[in-house]
Amino acid sequence: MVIDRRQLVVLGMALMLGGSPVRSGAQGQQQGDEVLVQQHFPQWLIDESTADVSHGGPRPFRAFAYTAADLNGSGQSDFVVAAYSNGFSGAVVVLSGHGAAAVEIANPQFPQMSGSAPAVKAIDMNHDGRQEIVVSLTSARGVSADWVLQWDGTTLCSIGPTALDTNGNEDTVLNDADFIDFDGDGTLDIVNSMEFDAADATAVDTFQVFKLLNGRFEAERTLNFFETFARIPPATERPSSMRPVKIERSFTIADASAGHLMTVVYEGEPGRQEIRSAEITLNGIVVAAPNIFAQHERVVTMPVALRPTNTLSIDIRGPRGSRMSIGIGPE
Amino acid sequence: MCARSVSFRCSCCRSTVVTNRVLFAIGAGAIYLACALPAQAASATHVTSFTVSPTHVVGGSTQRAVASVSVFIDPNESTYFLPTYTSIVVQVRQTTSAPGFYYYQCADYVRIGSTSMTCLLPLPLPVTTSQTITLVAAAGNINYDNGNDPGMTATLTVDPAPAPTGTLKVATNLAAASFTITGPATYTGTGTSFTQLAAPTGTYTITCNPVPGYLTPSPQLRVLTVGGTATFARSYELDLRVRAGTGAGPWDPGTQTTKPGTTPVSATFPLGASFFIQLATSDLTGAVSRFTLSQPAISPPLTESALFGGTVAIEFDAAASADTKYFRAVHLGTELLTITPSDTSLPAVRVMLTVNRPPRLGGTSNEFDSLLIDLAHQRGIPPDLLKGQVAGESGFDPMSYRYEPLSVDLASMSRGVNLRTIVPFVDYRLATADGLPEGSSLVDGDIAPRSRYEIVVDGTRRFIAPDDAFVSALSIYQVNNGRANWSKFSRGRAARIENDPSVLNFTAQTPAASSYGLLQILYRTAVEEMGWPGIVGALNPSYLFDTPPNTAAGGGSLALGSGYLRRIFSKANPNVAVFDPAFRAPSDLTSAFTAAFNKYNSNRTTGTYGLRVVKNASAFTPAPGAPIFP
Repeated sequence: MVIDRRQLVVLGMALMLGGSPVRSGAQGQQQGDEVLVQQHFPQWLIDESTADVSHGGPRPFRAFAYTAADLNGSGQSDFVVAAYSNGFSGAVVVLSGHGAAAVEIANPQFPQMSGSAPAVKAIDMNHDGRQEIVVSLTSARGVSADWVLQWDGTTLCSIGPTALDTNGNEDTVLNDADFIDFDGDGTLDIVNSMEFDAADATAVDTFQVFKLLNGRFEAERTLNFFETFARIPPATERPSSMRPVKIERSFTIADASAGHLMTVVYEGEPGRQEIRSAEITLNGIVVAAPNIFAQHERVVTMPVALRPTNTLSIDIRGPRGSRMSIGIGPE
Repeated sequence: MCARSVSFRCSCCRSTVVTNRVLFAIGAGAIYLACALPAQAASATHVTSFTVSPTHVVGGSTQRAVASVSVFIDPNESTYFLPTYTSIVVQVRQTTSAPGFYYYQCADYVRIGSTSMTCLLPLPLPVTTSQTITLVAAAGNINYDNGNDPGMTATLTVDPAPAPTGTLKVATNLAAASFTITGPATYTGTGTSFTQLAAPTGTYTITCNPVPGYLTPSPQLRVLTVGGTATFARSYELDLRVRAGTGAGPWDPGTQTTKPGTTPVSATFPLGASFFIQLATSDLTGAVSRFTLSQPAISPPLTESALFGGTVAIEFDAAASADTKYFRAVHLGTELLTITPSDTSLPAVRVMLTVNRPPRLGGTSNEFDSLLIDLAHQRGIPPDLLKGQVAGESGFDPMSYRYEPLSVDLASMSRGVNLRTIVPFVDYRLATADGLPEGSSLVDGDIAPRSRYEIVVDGTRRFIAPDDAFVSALSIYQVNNGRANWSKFSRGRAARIENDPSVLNFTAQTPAASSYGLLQILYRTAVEEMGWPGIVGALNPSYLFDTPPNTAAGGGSLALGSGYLRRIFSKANPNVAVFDPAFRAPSDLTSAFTAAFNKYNSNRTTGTYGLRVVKNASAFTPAPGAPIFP
């Protein structure tokens, strides 16, 4: 809906809401947890800010987020995992229990964990009943870096793809990653975002896929194209309608001479509505006919020929919201 | 010695009386005025005492000695003038052999009885060697018994007159100096100051001895006059060279060379410059040394926390000895560099480093250079790197703007923690379709930047108009994602949109969920993490554009963005001591900033963004404002 702003003044004044000066996570289960999480704000983050402000640095800032999680497969979300930020440094604290009975049981150290606007989510990556933790903190440009952590019985350890500096410090390489079972093995893979660089219009599309191997996410392949497509019909469509929705995308690659594979994942996560059929056309050639989907394979891989600039066209048939993901990358 | 002529006649001859006198005889080849006489009786005329004062004279005939003689004159002495006076002669004669000849008649016509007298003895002519003369004083009647008195003796030492003298002085610039002065006399000395008193007059030559590491001064000639002072001034020049440049090393054609002295060499580099300094011998062979920085004087003073606030220039691999050391100028000011050669025979050399303002950063887009240089100094970030980041972020467009529907608006501004309902964001909020009113402080300048995005209204694609209200994030995303690449940069959230586009069905907070200016600082970052005080308290997003009025009043993105980079540097490099760093090589510093730029951009140390900033920076090398050496 777009209307004229000039008509809004009277309406807006009547509906104005006050803001709270305190930021906190939106994922807390209980008010008690939030108070507890605030109480466990790491002192070193406060000290760091205080030291900097005493030398003319920016005034201290605090933000935190938290989530309840089943880290040990007990079937209960009996842990609270909190992420903290002073605007520049980030920290993670694990609390056992909830409310007044909770105790801090781990504060893993990640010297290069940084950023602001913390977010925490719990995801069972390999469906073993124990949730992994994804902590996200954002850069000056708002780009979030994701840390994938796993409980080892005493603390949270990084299992996500990381890079080590010359001193052995570990830093994540993930930016607002997509967690999807890309190869259909029942374990979520990671499709990382392209590196944010808004000014670099020449950048070739590159998405890195990481797979959980031996307890750690390792780089598996590179994609030149990746997107999840959902059948989103017009709002006016009848809910029972299965009319195809056509979606078109273009992408470029650096080396069209190499062989490429297209991977189609049409049931990424349990409980999602399935695509009933789809026709995928690449540069005007049908590369996946609807009958492929009749095989009820979750993942279909096929070789494709690419050009420097490519057009991908998809006709999706299925219920509203049904989806599939397509990845294209070198063989 | 010349002989003085004298006439006498031997008294034993009882003939002609020449005189009654006390005679002294001094000198070589003594003449004995008395003839041989019989042994003298106890009452006989004789000298009873005889002394000479002084007993030591210098300068020969130019002085006199006083002879004190007491004599007894026998009344029975047959004299020429008896009874009152006798014509006794009291004579002093010399008994030792000495050069020359001399005698003296001390008295004549001496009264009978005891008499004391003094007489002034003429002394020998100038002598060239010292000699001791024995004098004999004897008395007798020349006409009667002259010669009976054996006399009494005294000695007189006569030294030659000294040569005329003056004062020699030597001044050098080196404590280790040593020298020899030759001429009428020879002297040796050491150090920076030497004085020789009473040096014979004449022409002298000073010859300095070699000191390792220095050029030996040439000999110098001076004439010393009587009572005068001859001063030698000799200066040792270091036989070393200080070489410096901003190229890859001393082999670079642009390398400049100077001779160090005892005062520090002045070397000037522009802020941000990568430079090297080499200590070399005169044949330009490197002299392995320790390079030690001290006495940093950062000017103007830093007003807030800065990277590398303990130095004006970072020395790489500071602990290692080498003939050439590499540096990076990180703050304006001065700092003393002491170069101590490993060869201890070579002297230490001091270089006063001055880091000044470069007149420009590269040859293009120089309109923001002055501001960038100011901030680079305050932050400790090399200005070329800062400019390289500006080039990458905004292409030097001070009005650069980018709305972030996924990473900001969806994540935290309109959804997530819903910042649009929190102070101060509430004051700069666009009215929303879900009933939130427009913020009271929002101005048209905050709203206008969104007009660069298109939307589809009633089937027509057009740019957002100033008066459009309730423009949804989804409508902007759908039309502009192909150009802005939001979904590629934010896969996780893009997947949510792809699954359910309705999650973007909220009014796009294009003022508050956007980044601004030359460094594309996010409004949220400016307000929250950086605690931006705004312009006179006003936190309007459009004040983050780097217009001259904004930057002059405390707005703009440069100060905030560079401040953020300064702070995030230590997170990207947790092992770097940011006050006094210990980088091993220039590339380590570059890598550290590369990691920090990546953190600024995507909150991870890896990636290509930082490398691109560094590549950009290569076009913005700080220009020198002066030659390295004056």
